[in-house]
Amino acid sequence: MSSKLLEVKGLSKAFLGIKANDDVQLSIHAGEVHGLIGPNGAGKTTAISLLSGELRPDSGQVFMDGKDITNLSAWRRIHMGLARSYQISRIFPDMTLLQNVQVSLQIAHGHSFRFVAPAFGSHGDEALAMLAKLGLEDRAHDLASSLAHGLRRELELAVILARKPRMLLLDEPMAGMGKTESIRITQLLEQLRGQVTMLLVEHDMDVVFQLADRISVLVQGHVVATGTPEDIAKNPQVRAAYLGGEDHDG
Amino acid sequence: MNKLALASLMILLGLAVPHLAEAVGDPFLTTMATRMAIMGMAVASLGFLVGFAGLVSFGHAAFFGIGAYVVAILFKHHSEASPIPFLPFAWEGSLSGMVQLPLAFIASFLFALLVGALSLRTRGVFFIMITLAFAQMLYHFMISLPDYGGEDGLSIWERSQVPGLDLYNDYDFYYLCFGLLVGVLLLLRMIIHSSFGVIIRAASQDEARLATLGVPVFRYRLLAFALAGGIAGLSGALAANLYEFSGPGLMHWSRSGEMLVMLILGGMGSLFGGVAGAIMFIGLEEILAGWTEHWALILGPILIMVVLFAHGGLMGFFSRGRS
Amino acid sequence: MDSILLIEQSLNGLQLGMMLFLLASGLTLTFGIMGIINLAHGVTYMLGAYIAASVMAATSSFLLAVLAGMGFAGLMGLLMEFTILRRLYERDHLDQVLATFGIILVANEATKMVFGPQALFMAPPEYLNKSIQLADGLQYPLYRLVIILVGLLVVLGLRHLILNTKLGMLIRAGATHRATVAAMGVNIAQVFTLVFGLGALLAGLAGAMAAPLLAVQVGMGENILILTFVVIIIGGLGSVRGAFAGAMLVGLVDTFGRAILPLLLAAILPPETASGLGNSLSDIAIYLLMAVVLIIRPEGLFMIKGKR
Ligand SMILES: Nc1ncnc2c1ncn2[C@@H]1O[C@H](COP(=O)(O)OP(=O)(O)O)[C@@H](O)[C@H]1O
Ligand SMILES: [Mg+2]
Repeated sequence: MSSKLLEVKGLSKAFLGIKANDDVQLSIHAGEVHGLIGPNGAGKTTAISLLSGELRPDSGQVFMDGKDITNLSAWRRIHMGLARSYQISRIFPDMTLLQNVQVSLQIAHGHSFRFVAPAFGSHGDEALAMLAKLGLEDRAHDLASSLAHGLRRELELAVILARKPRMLLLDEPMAGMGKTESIRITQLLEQLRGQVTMLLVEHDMDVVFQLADRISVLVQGHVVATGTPEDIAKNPQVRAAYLGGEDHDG
Repeated sequence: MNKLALASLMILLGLAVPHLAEAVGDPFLTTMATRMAIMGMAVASLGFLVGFAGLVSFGHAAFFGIGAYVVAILFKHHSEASPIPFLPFAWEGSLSGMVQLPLAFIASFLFALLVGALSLRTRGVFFIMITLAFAQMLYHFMISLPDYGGEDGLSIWERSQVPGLDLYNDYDFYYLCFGLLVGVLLLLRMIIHSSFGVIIRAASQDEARLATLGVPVFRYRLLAFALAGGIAGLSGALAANLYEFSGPGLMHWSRSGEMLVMLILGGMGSLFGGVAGAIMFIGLEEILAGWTEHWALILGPILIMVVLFAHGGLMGFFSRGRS
Repeated sequence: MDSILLIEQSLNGLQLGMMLFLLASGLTLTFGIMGIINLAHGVTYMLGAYIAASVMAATSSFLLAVLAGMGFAGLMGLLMEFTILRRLYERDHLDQVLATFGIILVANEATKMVFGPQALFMAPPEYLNKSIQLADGLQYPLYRLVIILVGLLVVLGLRHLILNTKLGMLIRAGATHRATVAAMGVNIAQVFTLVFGLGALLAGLAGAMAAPLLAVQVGMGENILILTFVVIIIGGLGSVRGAFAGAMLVGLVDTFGRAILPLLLAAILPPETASGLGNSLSDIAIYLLMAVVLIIRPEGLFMIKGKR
């Protein structure tokens, strides 16, 4: 297969003695969509936060492009092209949709230590184009806090895509969405395939098996299996530990 | 009425204050307005921190006090022709406002930089308390310096010398304070709308999101904190001139609390809220104090009423009234 | 420093710590459970002291004085909660600061009107106003020992209340799982009022017990309030155990700072500079302690949850 964009070696993280991630191994190839599944509380969100740099591992290493980024702070990692979304979308609620994307573009252009020119005078067109990509252009001037749940997710995607990431860490991007919204996001991710590498945490098995090139299964902080969707669907260990488990709440 | 017209009106009104005071035959009003402008500046800088950067500082009076002490200390050494200790070069202070005022800003800015660097890892109540702690440390530290008046503070026999102005003239002094206030408000307004200001505001809405978008939030907050501290220092330098005095009492936590009260009273949604709060608080204090010695019995309930019934402070009350 | 002085200062520190604990337990519970910053907590302390001093002057009964101080403070606490604070539970901390600042203004002014601007002084009762011999060469004021004892009784009482009673269970649950408690059909407003009244009662007790040790005057509440906040921040908001640890730590650091710093400074500075500097620096010690705690542990020493 192609080269490894992101590699995780022996990553562990405990909270108050509970091992949320326990010796996690992952390698994500450039260009692939890598599904990460596992029951609630398996440690998926923790893994994403360790990759994004918001949490520091107790042990283990993270490599991007072969470079050790374990001790790189979160804000530096995105400058290398590593972006994340949150399980509960995070945006700037008191700004308009357009402004949300404009801030992101401003950061991307690296000129935030400027004190004179009004910020929202620039990147307007580029931001609007980004919103249009997600079908949000009609709401461009509404406050982000006025958005319903599903649309917030789309705005968050617009905001992080504006950073032109090479690698996306997506934490349940379809959770709590309606059918149509969910389909739209699936289509969007499908369009991004090949341009952006993705680590996709998702509860909806249909979506994961449809989108992912490979899938890793996380159970109680351990990666118990990695393989193609077909392999994973057949893997008896996975079926026992996860698909057959009580906690399969889809 | 749009914002620009409103702002112009306020500026015209501000310019007219000394003449109005004379017209009603109460020149003391000019001094009161000077106090309002000075406190308005300090509270506006606090409003920049609290309302826009989301940083509730309970130690803002420390920076105000540093500015006041800079003026007093420079005056003292100048009048005694004694060198200022701990400087790498020999300097006997200065009476020039062109030295005192910028230095007040710089000293407060630098101290705020230090406090901010140590405090900005904490959040919420903890940030409130750690800023309070640093301010109280400075308060007790100033008390411990007998050379600078200890508990009694320092009197200032000569106000700052500002070219073209005579600070012993109430008009001149007022116009200096008013001019600086307008300047500070314009500066803060510009910053709030700039790229830097947008980052500061975004950080108060969702810090983690901003970090994972690629912003080292700490640095931006630190600069904002120091800037607000510097402005408070400038305001303190003016206050020292007005009272012809600087003392540890200016840094006491109750003074920081008072600034917060003024801010909440005026409302935090706009920069002018802080100024409005200072005007209202000082005005109420004056009016009530002239009316009854037990003014606190009336001011107290007004504050409580504002919280319970006029959410968003005075400015919020008006903007809701208009819409 | 010899061992006599060491024991004496430890006892002083313990006594200050007990005082602070009486105040801090109420403040930390109201903050931890109701999420309210109550600047007016010092007001109940002041009222306790004033009422105790007046009742003592009128009746010469110390017991009556303390009970009256406590009772009045508790009632005023209930009144405050009922009329104003309960409307602020869901509000911004800043609103709480403003409203409780307003309460301070009113309470201080009213106290000045009723009791006059001069400070009141209260003598400890005859039977407590003596020193007892604790060891060879160690005389210690009995009254201060009584304060320590009362503090210990309150610690044990609170421990029992929190661990073994239904109210205590609700308090513990309320501090961590407010929604769950509400879902259990408990009248949470009633629990809040009770806890608030209890906090005010204990603050009043502290005020009444402190009255013979210091000048009873307007503003005394605010001075100790800041110390109390330091205690609960160090101890972790909402944790009574933490409040106890914090109170002892602050009491001891403050007392020893006051005793030792001037001695240390006297070795390197001229005497009068040393004592002045030593005094103010020991005022700094507790704030330094809090700052250091927060720099190392930005959420306090014993944080029970991500509450701020
Ligand atoms: N900040 C935290 N503090 C304490 N425990 C945490 C924290 N974050 C996650 N955990 C615990 O770690 C485990 C894994 O959580 P998480 O990574 O959110 O799982 P998932 O995303 O797979 O549902 C859970 O037991 C959770 O309670
Ligand atoms: Mg999760």
